[in-house]
Amino acid sequence: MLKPDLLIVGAGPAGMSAAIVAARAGLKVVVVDEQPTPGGQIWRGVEANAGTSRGRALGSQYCSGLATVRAFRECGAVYWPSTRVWQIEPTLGTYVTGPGGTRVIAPRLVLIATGAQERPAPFRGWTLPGVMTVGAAQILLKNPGSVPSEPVWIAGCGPLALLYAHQLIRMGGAVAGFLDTRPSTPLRESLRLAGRAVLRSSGELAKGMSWYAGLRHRAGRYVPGVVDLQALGTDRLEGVRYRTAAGRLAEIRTSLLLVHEGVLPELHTARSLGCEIQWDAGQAAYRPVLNEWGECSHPDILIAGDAAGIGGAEAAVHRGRLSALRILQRLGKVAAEPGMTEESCRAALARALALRPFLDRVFRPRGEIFAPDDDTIVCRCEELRVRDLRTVLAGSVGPNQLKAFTRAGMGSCQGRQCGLTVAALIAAAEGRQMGEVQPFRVRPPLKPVRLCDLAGLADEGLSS
Amino acid sequence: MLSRRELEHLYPGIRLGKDVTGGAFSALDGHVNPLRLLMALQQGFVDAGGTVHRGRRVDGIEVCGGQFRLHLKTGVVHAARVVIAAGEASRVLAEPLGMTLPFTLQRGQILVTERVGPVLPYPSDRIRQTAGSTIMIGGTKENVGRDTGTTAGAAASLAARAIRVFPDLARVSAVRQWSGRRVITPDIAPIYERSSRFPGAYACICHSGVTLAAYHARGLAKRIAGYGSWDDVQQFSARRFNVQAA
Amino acid sequence: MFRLLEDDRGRMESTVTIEIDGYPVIARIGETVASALLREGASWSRTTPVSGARRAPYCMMGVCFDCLMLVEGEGLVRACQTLVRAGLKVQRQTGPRKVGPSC
Repeated sequence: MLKPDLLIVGAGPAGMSAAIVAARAGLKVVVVDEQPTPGGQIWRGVEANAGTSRGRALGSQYCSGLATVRAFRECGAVYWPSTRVWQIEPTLGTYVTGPGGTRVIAPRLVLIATGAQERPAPFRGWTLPGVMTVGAAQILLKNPGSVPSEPVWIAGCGPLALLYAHQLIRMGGAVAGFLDTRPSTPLRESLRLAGRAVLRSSGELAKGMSWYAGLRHRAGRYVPGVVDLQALGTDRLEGVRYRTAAGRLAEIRTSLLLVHEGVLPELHTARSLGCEIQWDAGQAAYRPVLNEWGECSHPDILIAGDAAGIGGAEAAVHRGRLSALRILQRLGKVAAEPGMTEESCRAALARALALRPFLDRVFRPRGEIFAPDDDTIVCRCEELRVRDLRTVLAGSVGPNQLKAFTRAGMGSCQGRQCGLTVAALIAAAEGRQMGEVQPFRVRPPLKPVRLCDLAGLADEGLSS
Repeated sequence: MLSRRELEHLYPGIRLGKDVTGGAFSALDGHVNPLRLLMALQQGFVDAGGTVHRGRRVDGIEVCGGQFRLHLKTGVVHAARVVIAAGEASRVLAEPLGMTLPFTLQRGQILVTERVGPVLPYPSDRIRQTAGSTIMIGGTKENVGRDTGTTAGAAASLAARAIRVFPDLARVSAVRQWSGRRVITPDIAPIYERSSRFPGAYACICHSGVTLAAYHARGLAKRIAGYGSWDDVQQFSARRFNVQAA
Repeated sequence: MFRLLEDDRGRMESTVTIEIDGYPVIARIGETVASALLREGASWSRTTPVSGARRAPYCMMGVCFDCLMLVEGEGLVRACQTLVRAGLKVQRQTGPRKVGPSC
């Protein structure tokens, strides 16, 4: 059994940055990550792409990840790629399965740096082959460098949808049309939130605005104010029907629709350990309750990066470093790099987050996402529509009994795709705020694990 | 009792492990989906004119002028008769009404697999395939108080035992593990109590309420409602444990 | 639904052949099974055990579990988390997984 000082789950910006600080200071660090190479989603495949035409098309922010990945490779942390964590016990006993089989790790402290997932935004037909997320398409762009075979329709709201369209066009793909689901934002409120951030982050803002301008210019069609989507087809996507805030209904023919409605912190790992969460109205998402170091309600677990609340890659780097500094402090070590101080990290984090309230407000998801109609599938795994939950919702039984009665959230994805929608439906049915509703309780295994892998642990003398 | 060969006939779609020498079979055993049963009981109660006050914790029960006063966060409910069937919370509520309920808590952990094609036509107490075609593997018996966490150790031993009996399950994946607390009386049989000091007060604790649901809904409920004699229920009073101690 | 970018078509030295439902599929070394599948005409990955509806890779990052396929006989494998290798045998998972002596 491996007994490191620190176990880091996730090798994205936060996990790698924390590992670099901790390992250089002399801690024994193990980093476990599901992907075959380091970088997380944002810097996925950066080692292969940086310096190539694909890397250039993906942009300088993407390529900047290479330095962190290289430093991480050399920092001395034990790195297990293609490995999934399927259980962390409250005593920190951690169970992972990867190329080396199933193993147990018993760290002194755990840093959860599991990043984000795209916000599930159910609409009729969203389970049809041909409907994918923008994030999925961007992953294909990074590796192996695939683009939609035909000019593609994108529907969504959020920086990632704009960035992808921009990257796709630069790499030789084409956007047939963009259905903008972003609700209109009161100008005065946005400007107030932008405030000083505009001055600090004018470059970022200008970039974002240029993406928008480019999109309006280079997409075949641009439709603002889309409030409702319906994917049409039986065995695969054949078309999309949409409705605008002005009440206009229209239909397009397409075999591929990319959707995106923002991103959410990955909370399953933390919540399986009972870590407290809270509703963040600004980000319309649950996030863990953390102090300024990323320490949560479990004394020996820290959370950094987007898993701590959406902040983007740069913020994730600084949050990872701050958590690592705290871990060093707790284990009686000091950072090896002279400039690596709490003050510098906090200042950098504040800069990285300056634009966030503005982005959160401008890209706040439309209310329709939280109130799908009766025909819409909520739980993709168990194929449950809103209608199937109505009787149980009316009984005000709470999320866990709703899960038990309907099987919503019991499938392979374990509620990752329906948890937030179900919480919103409960809140609506009971006239409560999201903050007063807890999502489903998360149970292990965090990812499916074969019975023989479990049984193998019994042979090692581990049993109840 | 069945030989290994007879068992093989019961499970034609799956191999038995080499350690399986035989089994026991009762035609009276069956499988009830506990979640659907609970939903059905709640619906039946409402259909019969009952009202369910959900999410209301009972902080205490007092006797007042021949009536029971149930103290809820949201107010007081009066009743001529009260049945305490609150599982592990029953002891605290029953004590002031003159009923002593001896029991301990036992944790049981269950492992649930992905949906697989039908392979287990008969349920057993340790492994069964549900109507949803997942396989449920149970159950541990642990003395850990109120802890409802799950442990990888329990998952390991449950999985190992399942594979020992049905080796073809080795590559099936577990998708969920959960645990619950059982209320265990000293002799494992249920306790049905009628307060002699405060007529109209009853208590009922057992494991499992799923197994005994049919009796509770019919025989026991009838007697609590005043139909039929309490005499045959009397032997399930907690007083049986005092006699043994003496 | 997807195609490789022009600049990558020439890199034949970096490809392998996998099998999806018995048919050979050319894949790039370093890509995932789901990524290769999405360049096929029929890019669906499984039918659901509940209604038999077809599903295809949706999130590509391991959180939707819609790209579950049988990989070398193993079930419940996320194709988006599985790297290709020469000769890898993959099957679409139709309905609930079969269990028994033949598997």
